[in-house]
Amino acid sequence: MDIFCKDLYYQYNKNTEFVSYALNGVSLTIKEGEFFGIIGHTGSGKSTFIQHLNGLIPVEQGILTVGDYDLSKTDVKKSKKEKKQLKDNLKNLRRSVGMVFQYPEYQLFAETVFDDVSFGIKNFMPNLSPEEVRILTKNAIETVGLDYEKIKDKSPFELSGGQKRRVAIAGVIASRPSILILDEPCAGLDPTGKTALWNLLHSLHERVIKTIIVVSHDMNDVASNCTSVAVFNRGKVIKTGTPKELFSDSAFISDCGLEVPVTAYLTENLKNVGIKIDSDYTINRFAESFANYLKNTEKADL
Amino acid sequence: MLKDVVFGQYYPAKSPVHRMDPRSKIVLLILYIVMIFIVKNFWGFLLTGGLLLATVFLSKVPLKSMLRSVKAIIFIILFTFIINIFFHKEDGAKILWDVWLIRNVTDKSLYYAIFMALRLLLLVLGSSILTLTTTPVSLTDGIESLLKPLSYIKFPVHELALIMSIALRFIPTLMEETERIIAAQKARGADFESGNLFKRAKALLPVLIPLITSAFRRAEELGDAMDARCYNGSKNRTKYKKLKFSLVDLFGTVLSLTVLAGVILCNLYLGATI
Repeated sequence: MDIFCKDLYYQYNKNTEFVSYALNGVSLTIKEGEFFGIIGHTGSGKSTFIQHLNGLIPVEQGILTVGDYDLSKTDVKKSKKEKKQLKDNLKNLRRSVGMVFQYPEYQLFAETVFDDVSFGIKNFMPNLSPEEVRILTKNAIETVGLDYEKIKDKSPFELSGGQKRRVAIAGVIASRPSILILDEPCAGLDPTGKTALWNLLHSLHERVIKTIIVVSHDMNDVASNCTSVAVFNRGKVIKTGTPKELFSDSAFISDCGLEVPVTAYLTENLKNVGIKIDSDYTINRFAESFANYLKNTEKADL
Repeated sequence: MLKDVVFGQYYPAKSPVHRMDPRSKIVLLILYIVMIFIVKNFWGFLLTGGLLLATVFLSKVPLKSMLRSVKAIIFIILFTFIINIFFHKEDGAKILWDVWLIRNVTDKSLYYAIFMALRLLLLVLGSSILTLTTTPVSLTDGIESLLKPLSYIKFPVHELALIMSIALRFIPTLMEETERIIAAQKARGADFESGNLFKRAKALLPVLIPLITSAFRRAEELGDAMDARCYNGSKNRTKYKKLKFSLVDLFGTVLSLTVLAGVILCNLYLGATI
């Protein structure tokens, strides 16, 4: 499912004294299969935008299509039947577009991990047999790297922070979405937890989920993990491209109130002292290129 | 959507009413409420209503914000109106309508119903003026200062005020949290809009449980933070903002007392509706 939007506008506190534009004409296309990063400083409209993608915030003005679902604003009055149809569509859309909010562990509520993870499955697919629900739930829990038998009957509140987050993510991917959106998935995790989470996302991307969209503040993570990136600023997408294209222009990035990843920073500083490193700013590629450079100079010295 | 539920929200503006000492605003509101309850005829309402309108005008709060607080209780007003118009019995009343479903409507019951509805309306509008022009912080400051005498009989006035201001401070935070949790559960297919009452109540569980746990978590964090800064409400604690009775307060008091005198005169000389 491709995501396409054009001139999307949204106001908070509409018709009151405190009105403010959260989206100011967002135009963006996200192709199926991408590992898409959304960056931008606080208040740039990222979170508002992603909540449009599964209909949590109805489109006020502009065009938005997600796969076959047209979420654009229509002025045509709808009949009761059409409204019902629309509601069913919305449910299907939410099933196909999974959304993991910031600190998703705060949405856990059920008595057992099993109940919590199967919540989405039961909502989206009420006609499944208990056995089918069990299989889907088990799959989801195992996909996020937890031991199903050990954890299924525990209370989600007695787990560790990292485990809670995994359970919450399992609760979203359990209903097999084809697009997964995550808002700051690594916020508050320690470095090990962070690496593990990115690895999890990559394995999800390879195996079950076609498109992953990540909102992040951490440019290092974005540079190392995403295939394309969109930069949000003041409710607009001001640039899209590969991490390499974006981060090579460090002046532009800092204009948006952001920082370039460490790799880009190093590349630029090395360039200033006459050492040219060519990489796509992922940690691995950068290390490789730098190693190559060192080898070459050694050879030259000999 | 949830934001409409909050009863009266602070409306920032520069006006004499905003400048008033919260203590005098609270006392004058109490006086105003007393006035509304001793009013016996529509002339009295004309006066109190005039006082209200003057305050609203001076406060620069747009009527729209005022009406929003009425929206929350419009149902109660309508309900009392309807109950009163049908069930208020009085001797010597003249029957106005007694057809089909509209039974026993007399001139007296009609007056009475309008009277009560007006009373409720003025009550709510008056109270919302207080919350619209006073920040929660200065409101609790005012209440604390007014309750000061109680501390001589070992009543924990400061603690009470602190609890109140913390509670007020967290209303918007919890509101935001609720909206976030609702969004998160909706994203997992939760449906809050269909089904019967029982079903809907049950559907709220996935919202309430995370909300309560997060409220406890926040309370603990706040307690720790206060402890870490050695907070205590002991005797010698000073205030950042000193409350001061000024000229506007004097003006407000004089105006209110004048209206009070007017209301009493109306009651004495212009007869009683109820």
